Amino acid sequence: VTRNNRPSEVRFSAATDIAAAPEAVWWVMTDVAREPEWMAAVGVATFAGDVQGYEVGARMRRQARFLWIDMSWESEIVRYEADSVIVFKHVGGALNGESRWSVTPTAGGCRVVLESDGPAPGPLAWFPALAAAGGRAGLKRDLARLKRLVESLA
Amino acid sequence: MTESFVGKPFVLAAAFLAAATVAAAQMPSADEKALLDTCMSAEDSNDAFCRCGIEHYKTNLTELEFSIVAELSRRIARGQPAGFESVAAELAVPTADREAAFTHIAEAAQTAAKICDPLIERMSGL
Repeated sequence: VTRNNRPSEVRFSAATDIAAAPEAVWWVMTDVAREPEWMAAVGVATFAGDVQGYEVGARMRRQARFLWIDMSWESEIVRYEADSVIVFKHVGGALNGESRWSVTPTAGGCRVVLESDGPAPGPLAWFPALAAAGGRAGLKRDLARLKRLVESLA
Repeated sequence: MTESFVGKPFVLAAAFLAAATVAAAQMPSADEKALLDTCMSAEDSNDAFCRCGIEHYKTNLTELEFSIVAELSRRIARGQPAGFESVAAELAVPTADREAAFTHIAEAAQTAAKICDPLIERMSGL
């Protein structure tokens, strides 16, 4: 803990139902080049290191803008089950903690849940309520874009 | 009769002064305004949520600590580095007082999150 960046835990999530098979949603979510199309905060997402695909141990680097803050961070995939769940552990840069993407089948298609928890990034540690609200709103919009994108491809 | 004639303007003046004092007390300070502007500029933020946070900081922090929070928010909104130490130095917080101020603000930030976060959740339907 340093005075310049005191961790202040925030947790937020958002969910949506999409009228498409889990595999179709998963295909879009795991197309790394396509990630900025539905995850608005993310400007660039790339694999870093030897493993160039979604699997446990792969490392990813993202550049993003959250609220007013430009940030970049590196994550390691610590859990991967195709068409179902990915858990990213943020291991370097502006973010710490974990993010999870999960897709579960439903009668009309599938339900997608995005979750994130960890310290509020950078100076937002001083305004954790704002960080959580911004994060939740961002995830909700991301899911709306993902839903449109997947349904337009169906 | 004379007494009430003399007393009336005095009472009116006192009432006017009291009203002006209340109005002045309700006028947001530059620090409050800075916090409100920063909070409201965030997407999906709303007035009740922002005022909740500001009120919590204002009630629980000293004037100097509140100024630190406001300056941190100004810097965040401008995209400038917003470290506690540099803000404390700029506001001439004595070095010996910084640890206590830091801890106090961090505690206020945590409780503000607990109190105000459900408010935005309810209001925006997020």
